[in-house]
Amino acid sequence: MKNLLFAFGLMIFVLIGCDDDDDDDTPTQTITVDSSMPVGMFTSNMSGTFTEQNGTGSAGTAQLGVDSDGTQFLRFSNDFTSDFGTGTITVYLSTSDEAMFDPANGNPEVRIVAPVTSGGEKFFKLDPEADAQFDHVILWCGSAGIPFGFAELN
Amino acid sequence: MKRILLPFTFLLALTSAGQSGWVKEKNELYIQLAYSSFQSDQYYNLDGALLKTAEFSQQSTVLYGEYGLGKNFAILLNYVAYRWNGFETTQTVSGTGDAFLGVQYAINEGEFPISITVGPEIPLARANRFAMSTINDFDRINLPTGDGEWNVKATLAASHRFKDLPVYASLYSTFNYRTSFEDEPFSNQVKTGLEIGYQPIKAMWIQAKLHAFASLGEPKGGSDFIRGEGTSFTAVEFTVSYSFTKRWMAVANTALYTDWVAQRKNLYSAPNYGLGIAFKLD
Repeated sequence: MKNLLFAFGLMIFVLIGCDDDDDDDTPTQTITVDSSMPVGMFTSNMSGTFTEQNGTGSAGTAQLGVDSDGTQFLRFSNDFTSDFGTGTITVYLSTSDEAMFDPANGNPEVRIVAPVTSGGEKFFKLDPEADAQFDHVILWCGSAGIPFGFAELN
Repeated sequence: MKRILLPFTFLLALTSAGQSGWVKEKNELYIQLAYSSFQSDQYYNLDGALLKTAEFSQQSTVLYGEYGLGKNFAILLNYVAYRWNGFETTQTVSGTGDAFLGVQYAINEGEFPISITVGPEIPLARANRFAMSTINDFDRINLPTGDGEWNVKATLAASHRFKDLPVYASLYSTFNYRTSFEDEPFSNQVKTGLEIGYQPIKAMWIQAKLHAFASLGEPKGGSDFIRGEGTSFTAVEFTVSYSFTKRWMAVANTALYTDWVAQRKNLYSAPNYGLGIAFKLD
């Protein structure tokens, strides 16, 4: 019986040490996100408040506007938040409050903006400018395919 | 009244122990090693609404054991030895899981044995396990193999073997006192269940179980289904065990989630299948 208990303890010790190491320490790959900030004053043309989905607590305001140079930006307010513990949340502009992906036809209903991993104020430079048809902002968990929230821009 | 040595539930969302009133006597031993597999694209969110998502897969190997210490006491172990998690759109991540270690005490013996089991669930698993997307180079999702918290479970169980019939019944209720992870609090949970067992031949047991699981109060923190905050469900489970020697038995199990008692919330729902082998000393 002592040998059996020792074997259990040894097995647990070994299994803890044999964890798959291909995720926590994997360097995060990045896409090219323009980190430019607005020049001068940011003027909002359209804005909307986030509606949370699926219990994620998404909140805050999204604004579409331009800086003093006329460069278009998407801004999230200081109180922007969501459930970042689940991983990457990707921001999309959309023609509706539902993410309609159609990769075979070039995804005409959505335009990717950037991934976000934290809350608070954010600016996303939009170059080229977003088409007028994109009047919603969607927060999307790409891995699971679950919406985290949306804001209708008015 | 002869006690019944039975295989343990495979259904990993119900990880607990001591779900019968019978307690191992001194030096009696039961060990079970089981493998289970589960795939689903049917996610019930925190409001109970059904979403079709990318398919989630989970496989687990679980070690369960009971050992009698004598004087109405036994120790119980339920350890997720290794678990694999992934979506069809991501890598698969894996690692050891958490372990429940408890002490079971026989409050009453005889025709209606009653037991209580209390113990901590130890967070042996890495609390964050990020699986990278296989589609985008920036997407990742957190699929930990444990919930990252210390919690304490207490189970009260009662059983009865019907006189002159190869049938028994057990009723149990578990309270899970949860703590927190990275300053995110968790709600306490309760689960209760009924189990009926039938022995058609001496070497075989067939069990049917009904479990109901609920979180208490409104969800407090993160919504990810892996850590179970706000999760509730009803589950139906069937197990067949066959003793092919005096000491060894094979176990097969299937379980599925329903809304019969507690509604499915924050849960991937699909049938779960498992196979295991058990060893006993009595």
